[in-house]
Amino acid sequence: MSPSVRGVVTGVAGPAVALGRQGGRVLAGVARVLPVPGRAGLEQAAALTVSAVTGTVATALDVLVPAVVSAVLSRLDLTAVVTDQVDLDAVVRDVDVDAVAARLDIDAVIERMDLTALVRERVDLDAIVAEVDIDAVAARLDIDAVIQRMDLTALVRERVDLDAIVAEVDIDAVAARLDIDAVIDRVDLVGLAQEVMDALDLPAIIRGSTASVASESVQDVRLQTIAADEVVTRVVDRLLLRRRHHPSIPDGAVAPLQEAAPVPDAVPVQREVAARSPRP
Amino acid sequence: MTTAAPIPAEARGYQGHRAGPVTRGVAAALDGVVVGLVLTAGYLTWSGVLWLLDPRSFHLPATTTFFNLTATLGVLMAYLALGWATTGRTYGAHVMGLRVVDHRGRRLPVLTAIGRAAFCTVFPIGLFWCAVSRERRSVQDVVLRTSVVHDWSRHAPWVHLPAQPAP
Repeated sequence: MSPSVRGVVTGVAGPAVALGRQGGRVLAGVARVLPVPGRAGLEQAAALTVSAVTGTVATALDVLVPAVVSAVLSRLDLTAVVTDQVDLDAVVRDVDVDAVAARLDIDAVIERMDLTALVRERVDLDAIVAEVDIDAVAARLDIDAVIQRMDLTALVRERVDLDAIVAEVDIDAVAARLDIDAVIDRVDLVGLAQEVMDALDLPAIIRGSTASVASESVQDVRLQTIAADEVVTRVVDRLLLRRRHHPSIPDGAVAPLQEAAPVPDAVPVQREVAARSPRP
Repeated sequence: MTTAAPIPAEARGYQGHRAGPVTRGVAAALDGVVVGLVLTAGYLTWSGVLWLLDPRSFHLPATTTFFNLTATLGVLMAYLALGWATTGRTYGAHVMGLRVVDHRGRRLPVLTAIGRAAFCTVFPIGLFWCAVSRERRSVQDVVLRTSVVHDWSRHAPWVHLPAQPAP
């Protein structure tokens, strides 16, 4: 005998015994209370008995029913029974969901939830954003207010590659649209030219450039005449049957020129002569 | 202090060497042009003075051959002597980078400069001896112990030289 069933039997037998004992004590009481048998007394005794029995049975049922139900439920697959036997749709249809929702403490529910993690795990944000009408959002956006709060200069300096942008700019096209005449009208060309002329020593520049060109030309002529001298000397040497051309250094010229070498302002020719290598 | 003009590397080896006939000839030709310009300027100046004195009867002054020859030789001699006695170079020598020096490589004394100028003026053919001479010296150079050397520097070497102690 299983413990549950034993409990049930004990729960049923106990009250029954108690019922018998209680009936006996009631009849005995009746006998003592009623010295003369009568109808009224019997009705009263019966009522008392019924009342006692009813209370006893109720007490027994209070013990018996839960035990029996528990035993029965433990042997049943209540979910399957409900699924098979109950029309849940009909039940739910009759439920006043609004009333349930009205009683629901949404804030408390949300407080217990990690909505951020929940959204990240369960929501396809890309799909949602893809369906968002960005144009409509942008149309409602107060761009001026947004820009007002931003330091655009610093933002551009930090985030924008200005060199790359400028490199792609069509300067020619920009210049083509430029109103040069208007720019020139605003410039004091005469004053500007005067300032430039004042800053530059133009005559000195012209003299320098002219002198440079003339100097190069003169040097070319000098070198050519030197080469011509060499040719003439070789021809004369051949005509006169000279084997070797003699140095053309002045006899006494070298010594005084060498003395001039230590003088800082001495012209280079003295140093050249002093440190001269064999004649080219 | 004046910085000397830079001398090209290809010309440095010739500095201090006697010049040959071509270089000296080109320099002489330039000197001839200068003398011609001086004579022309003198002639025009003289004509201008005559015009100022008597404009109505003015006509270009006529010159004789003797006058022309004398004036040319005189101007040429003065021009050469002045150049050699001061900087050691005439304008033609300046352009060609030449300098006339004495036997010590220094500026010609005034008398030597005058004598050389006179010698070159009256006996110019002696200058051609430099083409034949082994040492590239003309007759004037041999007689007066002078030399015409390449010197592309801007200033005369003796300009910056300290005074030479007496021997």
